[in-house]
Amino acid sequence: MRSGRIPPIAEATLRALVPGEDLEFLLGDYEETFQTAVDARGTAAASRACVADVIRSLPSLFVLRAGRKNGTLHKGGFMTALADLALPPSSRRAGLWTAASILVFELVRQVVTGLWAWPTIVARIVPGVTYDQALSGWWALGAFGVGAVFVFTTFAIILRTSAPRWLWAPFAVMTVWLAGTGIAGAVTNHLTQLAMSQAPATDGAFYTRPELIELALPLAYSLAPLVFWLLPAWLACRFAKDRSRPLVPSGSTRIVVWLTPALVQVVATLIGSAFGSLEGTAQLWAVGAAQLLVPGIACLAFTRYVRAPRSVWPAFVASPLATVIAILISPLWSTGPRAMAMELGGRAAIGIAVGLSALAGAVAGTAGRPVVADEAV
Amino acid sequence: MELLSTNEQILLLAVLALGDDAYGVAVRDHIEATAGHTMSVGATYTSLERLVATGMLDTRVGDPTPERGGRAKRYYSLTALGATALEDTRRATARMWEATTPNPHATPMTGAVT
Repeated sequence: MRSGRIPPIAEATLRALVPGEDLEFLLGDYEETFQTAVDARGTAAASRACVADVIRSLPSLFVLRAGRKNGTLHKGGFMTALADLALPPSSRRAGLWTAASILVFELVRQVVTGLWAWPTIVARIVPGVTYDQALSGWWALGAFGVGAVFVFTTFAIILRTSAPRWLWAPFAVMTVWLAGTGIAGAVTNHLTQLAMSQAPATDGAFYTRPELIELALPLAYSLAPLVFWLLPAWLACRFAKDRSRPLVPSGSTRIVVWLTPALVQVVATLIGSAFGSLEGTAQLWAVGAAQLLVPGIACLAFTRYVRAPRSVWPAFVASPLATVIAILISPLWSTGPRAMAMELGGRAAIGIAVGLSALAGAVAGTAGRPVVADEAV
Repeated sequence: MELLSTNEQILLLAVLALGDDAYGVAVRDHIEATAGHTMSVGATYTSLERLVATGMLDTRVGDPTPERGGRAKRYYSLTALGATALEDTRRATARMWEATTPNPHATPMTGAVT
């Protein structure tokens, strides 16, 4: 009896899905079952039954394929196989904890920004209440102080689990980036004002020369996260209970921990700066399209050309997730339930778009790459 | 002691019943004939391989046969671990049944809902 008697579509499916030695045994099983069915019911019915069986077997074959690849052929394999596809075990811990660290950063940023803006918001929405500018600095100090407690407590709680002690590292990249852009913005603004004050007045406008002291406050605000956020985060990790875990990432984990937050910031800056000047619906559409495309392209390039692992994509979801959490815990009365629901839906949609885009890019960028053994992180 | 799932029990029992002739198609046919449960060829193979991966089954390769398009069979046999797991699950299930004394006030399991 010659081989390949089962319907070509069935054989092609099996050849595409089933790896190596398994294929030969499985094709043999299908051949034998097919032959028995042909003898009993005829070729047409046997062919239909064979194709139907292969279709029914697809989830199992998918599990077999993923299980052989990752060594996870066990009970509950389908979900494991799905999880392994999206987050390979070799880089899963690094990817998820990096995302968690970025999430804490985004949350503290939301908390501090919210507290900082609180008196202004109250003055705007409550009749008869005015905002005393003289208290601005003190209020900012208080907001940053709350931020410091928030960061230290959150990190201390997280580090009681199996979290790595390098949790401060992605947080540091995000904080340094924020401080760097803040300083660059403050200096650029100062230099622009300086240039304008020295230029001849052509339009009747009069610009005063900015004092150096005026640069000090924006610089202080830009540097504050390094002291109020990064330092508590580092201290929590440095003095975590289990000192056996490394404080600094090693091996291929480094690429995820150090470079992924930077990429997240680059993508956010790129989208913000490219479409920030647009207005109204055009801006919404442009930013929406960018959220759907840019993370995917970035992840594709990052995984393919920098050889980053597939699990980098959750880091991109951390920022939108933080926004959603911030909306959920914000007081309902400030915007009203309807506005809040719309905002929440919009942010959630952005999060899903960004996540799917980044996942697709990471999967495409790592397609065909051999899976390595699990790493200690 | 970890109890086996129904699917695992059925597969292991089929392998045990078939003895030296336990391979994918035979296991599938035996389950269909005795338990009335139909499994796809792919699901049977994957489930058997999963039991091999967990150490419940052992495998050996047979000779190629013409009805399989000249391909070899993969035979399965129960390991000591598999036999113990099967026995543990049987005992646990039996104890559960024994502990389930009929309650005279309970609604009969087979009672029709009107």
